[in-house]
Amino acid sequence: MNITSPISPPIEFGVSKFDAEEVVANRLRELQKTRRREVIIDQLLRVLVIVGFFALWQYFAVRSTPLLLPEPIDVWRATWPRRDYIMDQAWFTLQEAFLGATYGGVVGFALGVLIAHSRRAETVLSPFIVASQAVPKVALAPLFVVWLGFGMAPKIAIAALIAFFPLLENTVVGLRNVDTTYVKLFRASGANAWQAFWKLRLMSALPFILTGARISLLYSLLGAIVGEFISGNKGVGAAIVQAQGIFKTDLMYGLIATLTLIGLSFYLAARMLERLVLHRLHISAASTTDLRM
Amino acid sequence: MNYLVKSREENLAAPPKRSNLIELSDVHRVFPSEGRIVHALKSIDLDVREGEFLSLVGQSGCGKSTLLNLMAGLDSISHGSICFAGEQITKPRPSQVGYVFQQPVLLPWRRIIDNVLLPSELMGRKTAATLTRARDLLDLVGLSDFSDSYPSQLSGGMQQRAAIVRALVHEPSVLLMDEPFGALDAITREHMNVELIKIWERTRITVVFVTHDLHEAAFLSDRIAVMTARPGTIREIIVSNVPRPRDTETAFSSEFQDLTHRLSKLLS
Repeated sequence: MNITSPISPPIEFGVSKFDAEEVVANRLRELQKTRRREVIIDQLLRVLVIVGFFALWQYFAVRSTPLLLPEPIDVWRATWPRRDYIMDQAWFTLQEAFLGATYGGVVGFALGVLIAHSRRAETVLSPFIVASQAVPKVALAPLFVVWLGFGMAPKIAIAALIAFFPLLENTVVGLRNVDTTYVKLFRASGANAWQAFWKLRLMSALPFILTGARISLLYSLLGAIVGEFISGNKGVGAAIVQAQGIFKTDLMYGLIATLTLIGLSFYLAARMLERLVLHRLHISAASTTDLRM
Repeated sequence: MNYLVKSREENLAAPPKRSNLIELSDVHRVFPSEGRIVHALKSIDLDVREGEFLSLVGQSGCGKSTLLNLMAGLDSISHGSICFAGEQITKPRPSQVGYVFQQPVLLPWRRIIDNVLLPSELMGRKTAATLTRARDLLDLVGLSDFSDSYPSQLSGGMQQRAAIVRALVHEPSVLLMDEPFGALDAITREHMNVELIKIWERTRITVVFVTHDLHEAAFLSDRIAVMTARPGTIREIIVSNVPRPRDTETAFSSEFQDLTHRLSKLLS
């Protein structure tokens, strides 16, 4: 017996037309498609900006003299044949910056640990630390040359002086930022200061410390270049000064581009390492303020 | 002392020990705050008996957490005396005390098993026996499948269960719990209460439990110390006659209802 009202259509019970898996899969496909489109647009815009940059450069270059603003193609012609020479200089600069960042970083980290743990150390040392940052460090560069000669040493020293501060500051902030409940847990468990440092403070400060290290590494490049400007005949900084001396502006642009690439690779390598370490340790990063690249 | 050798029934049938584990007499705790003197605790007389489940109940700011910190040796008294097994408490007693906080405070970079072994490790007592006990306790709270997981992979309730295991692994004589389920949602909280009572009835470890939830206190405790705020004093200590073993049905018993009624009157 089939009872159907003439007005309402027959309703089927117990037969569901709803396939959850298919719905989810469709939605996922849609999202992926949107995401892919977004990425393509992002990259297109990025290329557009780069093309626009060179177009503007070209536009102004033809209205200027090669001494002030050479055309992009001239920069390429001046730079590419000298690639071996430039690579040598870059390698030299890279070593100075890296060594400077290492020395500065070690000192910055050690001082940071000391200051975070001792109020007295902070009171006594902070005037000197602040003064070392308040003085325009570039002004110290000639002095370092007098002390350390014309080789790599003064450049490493300037790089270290600039690089130590970001790591010091971030180490202090990180070590002080430890959640008090965790400190209480360690205290209640009878942990000594050594255990609390290695098993708690250092680990929870790690995101801050790694961010500080990345900034230090980038700043060290600045220190190395400043050192090379002032003395010596090796390194990208020295090469820029020499190119300026013989009015080879096109080569100067090429060297500046080389420096930018070194800085960029420093930044990206440091950030990759940072993420890898934090991911392996299941720690979330200190901040989400980094630029996406 | 090995917690898990006896069943729940055996444990409950055993006559309760009535020696005092922690004794507080005329305890005061004052501290300066913004130029005024705050009387956080005033002439507290309280005994924590061995093997009992004691709750401290009161509004927030009544000094119940301060009292717990004093028992843990994390804070020192301003006046009076506080003894642990007949000995003055002057510093933390890690081997005798297990502490559970409102938050799980698990280290995110350690697996659950390494987290629950942390206190033993810090005390230099990480042995094969501790590891076995950690595994047994994780099993008891239903976390044996998660011992190699990281805290971020667990829900809030599971994290808090791990925190309870962590406080028990080194076999302390007392478990101090500072609103351990205060950060959980109501349903998880009720579930955790049932879990805790199961653990307690198996282990019969001395527990001092701080809460502002009188139903929680009534469900769990042998005795309930009701506190008043500013200055923090103990208003009354109520002995529960709610029968054991307790389970989800307990809340419907007349004893439970009488007790909560009395508590809410005292706290209002």
